[in-house]
Amino acid sequence: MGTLRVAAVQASYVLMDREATIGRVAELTAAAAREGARLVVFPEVFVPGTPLWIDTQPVWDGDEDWFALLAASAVVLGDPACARLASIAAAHQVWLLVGVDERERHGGTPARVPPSSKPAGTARRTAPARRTAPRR
Amino acid sequence: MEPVKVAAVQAAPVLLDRDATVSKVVALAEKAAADGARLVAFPEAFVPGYPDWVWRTRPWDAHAAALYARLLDQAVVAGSPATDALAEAARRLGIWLSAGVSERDEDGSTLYNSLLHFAPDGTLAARHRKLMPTGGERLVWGMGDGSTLDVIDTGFGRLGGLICWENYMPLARAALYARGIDIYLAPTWDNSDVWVPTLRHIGKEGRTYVVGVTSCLRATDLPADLPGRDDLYGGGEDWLSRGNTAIIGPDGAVLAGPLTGEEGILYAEIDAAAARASRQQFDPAGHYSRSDVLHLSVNATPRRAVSFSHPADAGQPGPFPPGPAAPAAG
Repeated sequence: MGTLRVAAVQASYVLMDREATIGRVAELTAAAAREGARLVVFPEVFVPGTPLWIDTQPVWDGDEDWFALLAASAVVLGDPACARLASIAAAHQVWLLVGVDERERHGGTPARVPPSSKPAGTARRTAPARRTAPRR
Repeated sequence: MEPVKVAAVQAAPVLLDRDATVSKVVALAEKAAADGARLVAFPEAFVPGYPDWVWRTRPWDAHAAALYARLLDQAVVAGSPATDALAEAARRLGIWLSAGVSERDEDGSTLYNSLLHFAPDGTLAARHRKLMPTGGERLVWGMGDGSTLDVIDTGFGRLGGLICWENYMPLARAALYARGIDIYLAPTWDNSDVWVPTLRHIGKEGRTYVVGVTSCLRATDLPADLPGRDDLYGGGEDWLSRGNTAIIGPDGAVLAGPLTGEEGILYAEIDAAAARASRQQFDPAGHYSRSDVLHLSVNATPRRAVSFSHPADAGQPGPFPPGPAAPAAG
């Protein structure tokens, strides 16, 4: 089977800006591909970013507007954002794994997903942690 | 099946003091039993009190950890002196006693939001663990499994219940209707105006009596040494929960309550035979269910994270450290 060069990307996203963040994915994937990577992996919920506000205030203390922004910025399998990610993988001939906030086409619940460039490889986290991990 | 009187107790717990709250439960059950009640119901998480702070703390701040440690320390374990005392009160008073508790397994550190039913024979006869803690509650309670989605026959009707916003889970309600529930307990912290209409809807939908029972709590009821008390509550004396207790009939009528802004006990006469007879018109798990079109599947298998298996002939694991090996045969 031979060896494979892989890339782990540690980078910042453009919080709650799906299209700009996918632009970052495109730039960073191109850079990794130039270095010879055939598999490029991005962090958890990289698109459109971690919902940082959840640890900054009591639960349900009026964050519906933030949640609405998250739901609106989430990725739906088969939507233009997903197609754009797939085209990045195709353009550079790499396997691309990107964590996204994903929702069903008609759903309102985002889930954390690391989809590959092939939607058949989608796997959802089965149990989100109680909020995010503490930063200490 | 004779009609009986039931009681819904709206009271403040002795917050984070399990034994004092158990004593309060026993005293209030004595009063309700003296008034003729055969079933006495207490609110959600009443022992050792609903952890209201989950709606005020940030998820990972220092107060949250200290408060959780207190709640864990004061939680109820099935088969412990706390449940023995409640079971003994049920036996002595000849009543069914149902109470919400923060519960944990004897060897566990995860709490569950549970509803315990003690029978007049002095046993802890049934338990329901809330399937889905709501919002901030997920910071202190785990999720129950489907094995406790059941009812128990009291002799004057089948008794069960769902906790707080479980009552907004239509499939959970459907499961209890399929169990044939006649006396549906709905312990809660929900103080909203919409809660009583919810109880009335469930009564008419399930053709069941609904005993909605809510804690009431003032800031003055908070213990002085509550971690983060001043930060979280600002020293005010306002109601944290005004209560919302009500008893509903199987036609959706309000039989008692709602009671708000005070502690008290509501009573109502219930007749399970009448509830069942009313299902001639509407039986959500029977002739009105259209089970050929709409069908619910419930996973009622107890959920365990780890299963330990032993060789069939070994039975339970032996003592540790093991004693000297038996001499080889022969």
